Amino acid sequence: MDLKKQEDFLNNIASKLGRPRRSGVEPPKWESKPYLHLYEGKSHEELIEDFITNLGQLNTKVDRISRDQFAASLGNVIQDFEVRSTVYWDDEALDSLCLSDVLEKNQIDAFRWDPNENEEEMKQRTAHVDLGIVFADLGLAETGTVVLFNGGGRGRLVSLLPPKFLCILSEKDIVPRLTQAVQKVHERVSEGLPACINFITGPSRTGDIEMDLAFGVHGPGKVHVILLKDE
Amino acid sequence: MSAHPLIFNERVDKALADPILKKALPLTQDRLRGGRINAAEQLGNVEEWRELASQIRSHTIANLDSYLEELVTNVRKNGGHVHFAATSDDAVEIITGIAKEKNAKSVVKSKSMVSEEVHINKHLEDMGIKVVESDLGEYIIQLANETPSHLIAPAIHKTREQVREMFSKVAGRQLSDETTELTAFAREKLRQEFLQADIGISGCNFAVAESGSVVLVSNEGNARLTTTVPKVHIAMMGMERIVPTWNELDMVVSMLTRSATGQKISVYVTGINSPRQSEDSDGPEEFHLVILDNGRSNILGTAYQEALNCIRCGACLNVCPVYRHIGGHAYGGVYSGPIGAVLTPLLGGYEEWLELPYASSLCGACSEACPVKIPLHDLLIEHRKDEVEMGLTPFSEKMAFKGFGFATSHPSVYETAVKLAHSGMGFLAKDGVISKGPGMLGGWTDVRDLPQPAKQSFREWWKKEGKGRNQ
Repeated sequence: MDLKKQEDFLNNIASKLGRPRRSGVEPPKWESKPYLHLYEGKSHEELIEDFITNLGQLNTKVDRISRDQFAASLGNVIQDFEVRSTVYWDDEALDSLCLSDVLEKNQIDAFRWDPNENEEEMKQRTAHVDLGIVFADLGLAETGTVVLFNGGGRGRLVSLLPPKFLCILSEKDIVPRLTQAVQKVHERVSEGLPACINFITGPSRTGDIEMDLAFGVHGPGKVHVILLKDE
Repeated sequence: MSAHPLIFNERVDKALADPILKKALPLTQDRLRGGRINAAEQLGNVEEWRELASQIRSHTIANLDSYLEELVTNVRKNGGHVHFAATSDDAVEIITGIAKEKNAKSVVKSKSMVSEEVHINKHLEDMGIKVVESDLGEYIIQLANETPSHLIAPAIHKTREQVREMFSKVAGRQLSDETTELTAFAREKLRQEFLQADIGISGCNFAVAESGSVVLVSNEGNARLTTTVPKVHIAMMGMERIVPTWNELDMVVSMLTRSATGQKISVYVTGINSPRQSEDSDGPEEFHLVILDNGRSNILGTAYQEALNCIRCGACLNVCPVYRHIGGHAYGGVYSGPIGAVLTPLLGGYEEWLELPYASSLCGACSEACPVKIPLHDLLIEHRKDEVEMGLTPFSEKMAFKGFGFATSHPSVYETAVKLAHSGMGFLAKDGVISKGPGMLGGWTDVRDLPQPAKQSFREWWKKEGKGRNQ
């Protein structure tokens, strides 16, 4: 029944297009690359600077630090954002920064997004903490975007429900723009994509009341990025 | 399409007499258009971007059967459910069916123009289900029991005072008219709705055929909540909203956000690739993709096929001198502005929408602004021609007269049109003229003299071309 509906639907499209049904079409190689001039010739250092500048314009501070400065840097975020509680990803990259120890030292009520824990409890808890902490897969220089491949211990709600959001990123993972990020997603299609991929650029915003800009209407209204220098 | 109590001319008169619209429309247009122009200037080569985006959209539509087949094969492979809806009624049956099966008590929605097309809220509410719009603008107009008046900024016709009143009523306490307090209230109120909703219904900015993904573009984060918190996610997709691979997604997303608000990218671009996977402990357990035709296929293979290239950015609304004066509701359909004047008669038929192709000055600003190069004003002329050829001659002649009358009896529409059409400059310079044009900023009643057109006026054009088409 469903398959017949599908066939009718697609056959109708072919017929309206005035040709036989097509299947397995692949897009042509697009010759034009209008985005090239936006980053061609830029050094990686310049891309990093672009990333920081672009986020700065979106009310988002970026701390560029070496790994041994992480504890101090996180301490500052905790103070600036008045954080008392947090949820963070179950992620090796965060563990390698000894995140849970630093949180404990700062007397933060912290918990890990653990897929083995009770789901409903985690959701409720995440909805009530001050800050969500993740480690991003990519950063986009042109826009100041961070890219998250969610899944398992890397819960989607961590970057979404709390009113403040801290994203940690390695300098080496900064690429010029969306072009390189979608290429990486494209390459991963054959091995299967996670259920959700997020591209996040600064704090949640709206202009729906008289075009007056306001932050945090649904997603986090305050965002901070800690950028780890390559060592 | 939507049932509207007033006829076209009455809707226009009502809009023109509305002091709130008179203030809100130029403000919104100028802000959004200014953003787009800045973004285009930053690119430096916006024509190349438009050309590639146009090629990608045209290629996709020309091979739509193949890409849709690839999409749904992948959605199923990823564990999602696919539903084809040939008509609005089919879509309603599918979605109310899912709601019944899930015994749903409440639904949260993020913005979806397709859901407006099929009036899904009303049908769900008739079943006793609570439906909550979560986009701030959509929430405002839902409380006001109205429909969106702009693709990107649906509640531009409501003032903060009106919002304050409505929100205070819901809150049961008096709120201030500070934007931060009003949005904080919406956050708190809508968050409760999200956490208890059984189903989330979203639109679909673009589906990606190669991976069976649905991509959502938003600034508030409500689309993320809608597609993450409830156990069931239904995405409603117009059948043309698809790209072949993630690589093509780059171009259309880049053009969409730059053209809509001038942002280089929206705050959130979210790729939903499957229901939650075995190792996940958040995200919906069920994913349904509803693919809607609802008249779109009748546009294929016609002179109007390029209208299906539309990526719903609203840029054509923001440059249109007619939209500037009458706003979105006067168009009467789900889609307003130039793209609405092209699409609505195609989706809803000439009988009901005969006048819409005349809600235009044919100045061509829309075609120049369109990021995927839809020749909007050519298509409006095509409509006028077709209306005549379809044997609607006597009536359409009357309409032709009305169309002419509309522009000339509203001088600032006429003036804006003349300015736009005859500036003789390119894409950016043309928009530059608008932003400097004092006639655009003043009320239309201030402007009574018709300007001297530089080359060829609308009147002259009408004598030569418009009249010719009616013979």
